[in-house]
Amino acid sequence: MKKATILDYGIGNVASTRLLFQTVGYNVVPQRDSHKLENTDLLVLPGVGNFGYALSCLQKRGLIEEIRKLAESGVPIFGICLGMQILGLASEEAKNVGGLEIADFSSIRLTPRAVIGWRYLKDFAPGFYYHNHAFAPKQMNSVDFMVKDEDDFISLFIKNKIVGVQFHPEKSQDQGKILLQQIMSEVWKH
Amino acid sequence: MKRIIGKILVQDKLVVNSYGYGNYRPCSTPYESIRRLRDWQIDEILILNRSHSLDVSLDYMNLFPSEKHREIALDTPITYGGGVSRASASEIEKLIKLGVERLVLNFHQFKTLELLQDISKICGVQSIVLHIPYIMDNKIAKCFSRCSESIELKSIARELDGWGGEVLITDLDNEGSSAGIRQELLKTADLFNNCNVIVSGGVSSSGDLEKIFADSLNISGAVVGNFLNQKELALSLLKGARTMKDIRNV
Repeated sequence: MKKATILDYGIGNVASTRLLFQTVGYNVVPQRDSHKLENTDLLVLPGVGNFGYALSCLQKRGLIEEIRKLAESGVPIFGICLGMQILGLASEEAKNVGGLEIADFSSIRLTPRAVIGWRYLKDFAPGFYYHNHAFAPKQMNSVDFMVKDEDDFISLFIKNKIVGVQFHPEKSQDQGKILLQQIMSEVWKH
Repeated sequence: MKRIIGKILVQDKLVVNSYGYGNYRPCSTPYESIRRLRDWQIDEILILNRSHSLDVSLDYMNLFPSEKHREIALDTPITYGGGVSRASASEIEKLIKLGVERLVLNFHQFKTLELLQDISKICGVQSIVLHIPYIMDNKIAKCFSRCSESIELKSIARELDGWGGEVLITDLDNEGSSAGIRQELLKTADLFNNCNVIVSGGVSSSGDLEKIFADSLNISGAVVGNFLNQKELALSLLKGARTMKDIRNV
């Protein structure tokens, strides 16, 4: 059984994310200490929260460099919603705060209003997924795989072993499990 | 996609039917109500806890007999209200970690945009639902409060322009009734052009949903409360009779 570490960095939907990964067969360990991130098969960054607040939480816990090291060493990283956005360079949600710089995108504000509710994804594990975001990335270079939403924002990407989903598979009922299994089977092929 | 949102009103750890947020009748437990709504694949569950303390995360946990029972709420979008307006940053963090996706704040605790922006710096603007209960006063929709002067909805809408979060507008006079949605409620939603709007009060038929989700209206979700508690398979009835294409049918 593969070990998935859910990063409990101060904000984020840890309980739902934990249940999702457990349900599809991972040995899930929530973790908040930077020195205990080694020896994992997969690092998961849960979503829900503000970009600036998330980065300040990561900074306080000394997690930023540890996450970067894991990415460099080839450990797969799975970011959900805010967890995906913090993988990037920056976000308009907190203009003076830099991201983890693991993926080359920046998140911009959705106007005039946030996307809240269910949207149909047709290009990968087709089905309805729950969305809840006011910021999202639009452009990204050299990805292995990318799905965009109806407004041309990035919904899902896979780049090497880095995965980002802008929506919430952990809140998408049974469809979220189908998606996760499909994504991870792609990741483990690399 | 428009959302059908099942409301669970809790008092003393029991789900109650509510009539104008004044009279309450116990009908179920939170676990049973959530389980039923989740099994029906409701789009979102709104939990409003009337029996709250400053320890909002503990209040939430106490809705369930055990941690195992709490898992029933983990894979469905949960919006939670009950003391959140006064909660500390660490309590908000805990609620989110427990699987609460969005938080309901009462308008009268968060009258200014600055205060709303402060809390959105923790959980993000998309995770805030601003609850605005209103009554009709001489044909003018006014935000209702038991403790301060009422304010016209029109001026609230102006203040919130550009805020980016979501508002929940409740027709207080019609809340809990089976009289159907009222035209006044739909009109109030039109005031909030730059916010996502959820409406609540009186939904009791698929015809009500047809009116709420008409293309011309700026409404993203409809709250259904007593109706789902009182009728077996009520959600299927609401969805099944619909012909609109922008409802999730799974």
